Amino acid sequence: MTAYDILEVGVVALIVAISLWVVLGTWAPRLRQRLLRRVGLGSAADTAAAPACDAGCSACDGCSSAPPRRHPTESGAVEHPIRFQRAD
Amino acid sequence: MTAMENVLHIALVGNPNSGKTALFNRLTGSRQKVANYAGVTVERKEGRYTSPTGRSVRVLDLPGTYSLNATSPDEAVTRDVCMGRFEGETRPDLLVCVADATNLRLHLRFVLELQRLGLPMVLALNMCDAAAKRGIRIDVEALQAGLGMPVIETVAIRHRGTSELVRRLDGPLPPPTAMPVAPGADLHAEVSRLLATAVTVPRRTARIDDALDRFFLHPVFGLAILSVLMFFMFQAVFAWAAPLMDGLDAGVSAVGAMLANVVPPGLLHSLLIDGLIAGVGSVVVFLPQILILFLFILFLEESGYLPRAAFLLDRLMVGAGLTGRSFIPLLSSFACAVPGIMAARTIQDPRDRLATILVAPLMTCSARLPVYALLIAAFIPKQQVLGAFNLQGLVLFGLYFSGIVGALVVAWVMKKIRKDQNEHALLLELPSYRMPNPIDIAIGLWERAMIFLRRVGTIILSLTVLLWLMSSFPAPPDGATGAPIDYSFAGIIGHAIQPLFAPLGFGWEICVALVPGMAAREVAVSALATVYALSSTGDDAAGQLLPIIAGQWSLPTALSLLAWYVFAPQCVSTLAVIRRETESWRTVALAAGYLFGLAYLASMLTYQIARLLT
Amino acid sequence: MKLPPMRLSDLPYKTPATVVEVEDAADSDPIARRLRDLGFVHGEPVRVVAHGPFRRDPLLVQVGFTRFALRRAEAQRVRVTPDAA
Repeated sequence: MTAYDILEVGVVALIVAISLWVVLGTWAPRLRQRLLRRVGLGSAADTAAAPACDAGCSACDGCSSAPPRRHPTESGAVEHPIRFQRAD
Repeated sequence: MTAMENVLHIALVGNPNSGKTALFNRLTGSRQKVANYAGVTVERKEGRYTSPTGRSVRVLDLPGTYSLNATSPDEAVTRDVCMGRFEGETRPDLLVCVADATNLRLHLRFVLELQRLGLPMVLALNMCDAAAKRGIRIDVEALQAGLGMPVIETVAIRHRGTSELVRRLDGPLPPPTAMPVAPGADLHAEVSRLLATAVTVPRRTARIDDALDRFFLHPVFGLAILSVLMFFMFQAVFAWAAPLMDGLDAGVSAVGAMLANVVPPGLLHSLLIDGLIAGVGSVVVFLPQILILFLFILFLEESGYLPRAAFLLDRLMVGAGLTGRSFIPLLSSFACAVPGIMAARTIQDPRDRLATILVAPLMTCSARLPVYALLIAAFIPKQQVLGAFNLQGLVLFGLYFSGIVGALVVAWVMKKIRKDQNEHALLLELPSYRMPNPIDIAIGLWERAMIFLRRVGTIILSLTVLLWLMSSFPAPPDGATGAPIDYSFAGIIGHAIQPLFAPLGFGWEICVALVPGMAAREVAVSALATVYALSSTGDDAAGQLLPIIAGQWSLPTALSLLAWYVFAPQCVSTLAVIRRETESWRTVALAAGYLFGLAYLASMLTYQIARLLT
Repeated sequence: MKLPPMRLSDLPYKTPATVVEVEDAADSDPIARRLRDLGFVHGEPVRVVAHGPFRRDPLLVQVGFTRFALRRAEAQRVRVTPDAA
């Protein structure tokens, strides 16, 4: 095995790992965050950084699995989704 | 005193389309979506700025409403925040009422209603420039005295248009008005009294609006203009984009050729050429088409034409069991179904709202455009029809149209099933026309381009890499004949599910592409490119998806895949937002089930009929 | 000359009229209440400025400085008197 072969495998493995990470963040952001915390890296800020879904766009990958907290407040308040109801 | 107490909480409240979000963007430097129709903002949005004296101000942008008697979920948010009943939200210290200076007769009534809440308030008279242009003269002093609150003129769309407001908010809070209109008293009468003392209006409507509406809302011309506009839009998507796309295509090919020379054959070579260049490159070239589509959408949104289109088509939508209110959510779905489904919050009736949410995914979102454009370019000849229209544009129009017809039929069936006899309200305000600002449009397009490129650079690229991995491993056994991809995971999976799609005429390559296409529709294009690049033995296949599918697929297969994409719920984000908006997995299952069923049926019919005919 | 009241849905195209009242179609009718909030109140001048292309529905009604699109069923709740020419 030449040095280039080793380098090649390393680069390919890195690219694949990064891709896996991005896809995981789209489909299972909570799982990814749990993994991060397991390694001792994550913080609450990561949830807040999820892209907003209201930009009128197709940049909505952030909503896939977990509804992002759209208005993170310092109090850590709970966001209640709007329910179907006819108000008086 | 803690830092928390130092923060001033203000909320922007007012009638729909009074420019609250434009003001919010100006104050906080954010870039929330603004457009010229009621109901763009459907949830509360938070932003911050620091005042000249260093005070921290937290600004809340609220959905517009005509009254605190909320009739839809978005209006309920505004009511609850103003009354301090919204869970997890402190009651604002100060309400900034935003009123359109050209429409005070309507907007002041809500200001008076809000005054009864007893909160400190200021009134921002927005769009003062437009009012001045129409000759509307407002005596700010008199209005201030009559209302008992500070009145500040603003022009939210102008650079320094809010400096006076910022200065006033920096001072001490104004006291709540001492004399709100008594409960039970007629607010309209009070507004008339105020207008008589403080406002002179030469003419109740803008002359230009009357003139334009005579054409755009004319029973015959109006519909003709609408059809021509839609037609022209899809023609332009193909005609204008062609030179730009050719340029991008050449660029992608050049980069591919360069890389192929630099990187020696092997694993990395395959990843870069067959995976990245072939896959991602095949999606990037559709950027011009997406931008042209959004150029039209932004122009229509800013100009105030959209509610007019809703007015013209309302009767058809009622016939199908939708309301005219569904129009704007459905129209937003042409960009992406996710904001479209969220915009359905402006619909009062829960069942109308549900119907709108369920059919929104049928509107052709911009992520479908690359798939459509690829197949059309490969299979539909570039010829002129009737001298003026190009056939490719016509087919694209037809695909968009099929989605719309599909939505109307589905809504109609739903109406029949639930035997709905209820009345559906329209009550839609038609705003004044506005000339779209070229700079705003340019910024909007830039943002769309960035969104698309970011999407290409993250999710599409990543999925393509993973697909390449799945398609390259395990490597074929020694002495194997045929393409290596046949022995890989992707090849095995593709061959395994192909029988299910055989009646639709899909080959195993298409089946492989459909799976990652669930995460983002465009990935189907990059996945096909990667699969074909790996299937071919030569090196020349990279970046040349179009001639390959044109050569290998039959026309019925191409048409069948187009039909599949009109209906199939190929988008996890859409299903997730349906779940969030309806809080029901049942609705998600219903939506996904009926869409897949419809897609399968439509594809099968298309394939079988096309095969008989060709 | 005082003309008899009629429903807004029957008001001829571009005829100036004045609102008499909004009638509730049912008890605590939310649509009627919203119409009143929008300015359909006694004494307010109104005019039908356009019709939809299909079955002349919806109506575009000018009230105050604003134009609202109303379906016929909604416009039926509004009673108006045409202004004497």
